[in-house]
Amino acid sequence: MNTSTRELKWYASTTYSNEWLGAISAWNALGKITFSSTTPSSTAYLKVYDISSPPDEFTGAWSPTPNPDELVFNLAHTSSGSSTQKTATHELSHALGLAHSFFGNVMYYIQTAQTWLGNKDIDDFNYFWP
Amino acid sequence: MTKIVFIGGIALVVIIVLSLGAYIYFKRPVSEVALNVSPDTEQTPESVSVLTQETTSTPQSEERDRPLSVREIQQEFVADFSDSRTLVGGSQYIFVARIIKKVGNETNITWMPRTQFEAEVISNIKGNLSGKVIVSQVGGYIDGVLYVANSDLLGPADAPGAGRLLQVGSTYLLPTRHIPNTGWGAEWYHVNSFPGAIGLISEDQNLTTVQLNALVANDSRAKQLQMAYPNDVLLTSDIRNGWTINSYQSLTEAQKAALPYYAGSYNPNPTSTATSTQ
Repeated sequence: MNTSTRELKWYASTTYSNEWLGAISAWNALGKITFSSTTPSSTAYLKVYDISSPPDEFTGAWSPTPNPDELVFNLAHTSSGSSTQKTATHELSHALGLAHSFFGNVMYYIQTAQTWLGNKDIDDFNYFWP
Repeated sequence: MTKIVFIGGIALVVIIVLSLGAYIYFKRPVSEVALNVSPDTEQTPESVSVLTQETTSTPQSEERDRPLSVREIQQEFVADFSDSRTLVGGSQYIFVARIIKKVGNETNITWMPRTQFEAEVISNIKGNLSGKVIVSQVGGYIDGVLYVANSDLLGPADAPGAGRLLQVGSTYLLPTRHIPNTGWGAEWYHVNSFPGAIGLISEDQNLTTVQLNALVANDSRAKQLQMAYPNDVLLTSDIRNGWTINSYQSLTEAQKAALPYYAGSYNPNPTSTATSTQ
């Protein structure tokens, strides 16, 4: 994430491309961040990909590892649909600076089928990106 | 004239006190500064850079107590593991173990920092392990930066057992996932990183096994999980993929009868030792 230009260049290689684009769309509608796909992955600020890790108990994760940040879907505990779109929006929100919050928001830290942004999500986003 | 000298003296004292205070403040250990940084502000690379430049510590030797900075790994969980029945159902093995030593730090070959520890099993709640096992925890050090999972949900960072890596010498209640033959990391017992999933039994490394078992017998969290076992809620993905190792349903009647809370009720005279069901 380039905080000064408010630009998020992403590179995605995932089976959940529809869910990922849905997540981009949700935040893009607020009009404060410029999202753009890029190749190769080395030019991205955020790299999105899949893992399959049965021993882990998470559906998705965001890790601020050095250059670039990484966002993963855990195929072991996900399948296509609204639940995974919530996972995508949740993890993308972390990349945008948001922390966890409570039920009724995509930043609730347990998987649900909520694909829309909650009031707290939007308040936090506007606070972070005035 | 005396009045001017007096006022001047007071001013001089104030300046000295303020200078001393500023000196002490800015000379704080860098770990103290770093740990006071909120997760959100840590996402600004400039602030991290400033912090790392100030340090003179050696992270390899002092990493337990002196991280240069702390950064968060964030996760969304497949289920609400604050419900004991779900935590038990979503774990293949739950045991009490004393952490012996750190044995691995898989930071480069995986996408997420993880740290492995050798642990000595003290007792079991689900499954039947003994001896030494390797437990793996999400989180670890990369270039002096401590990555921890979901620390925004864990409360005070200095609370016993909260948020940071497992500590050598301490004994914990560990809900773990362990699914053999599923690829990378399958040999380890993966500690559930849901907030509050791990329970601290004791930080005293000198306690004997008998003493630790006495603590476990009176530990409310351990009892809670023992009681939840007969009503364990399995994960859909585990059922779908055949990963429901040691589920209550998979136990024989003899194994169930050996549990302290047989069928959910306290069982003062367990019939035998439970054995693992794969």
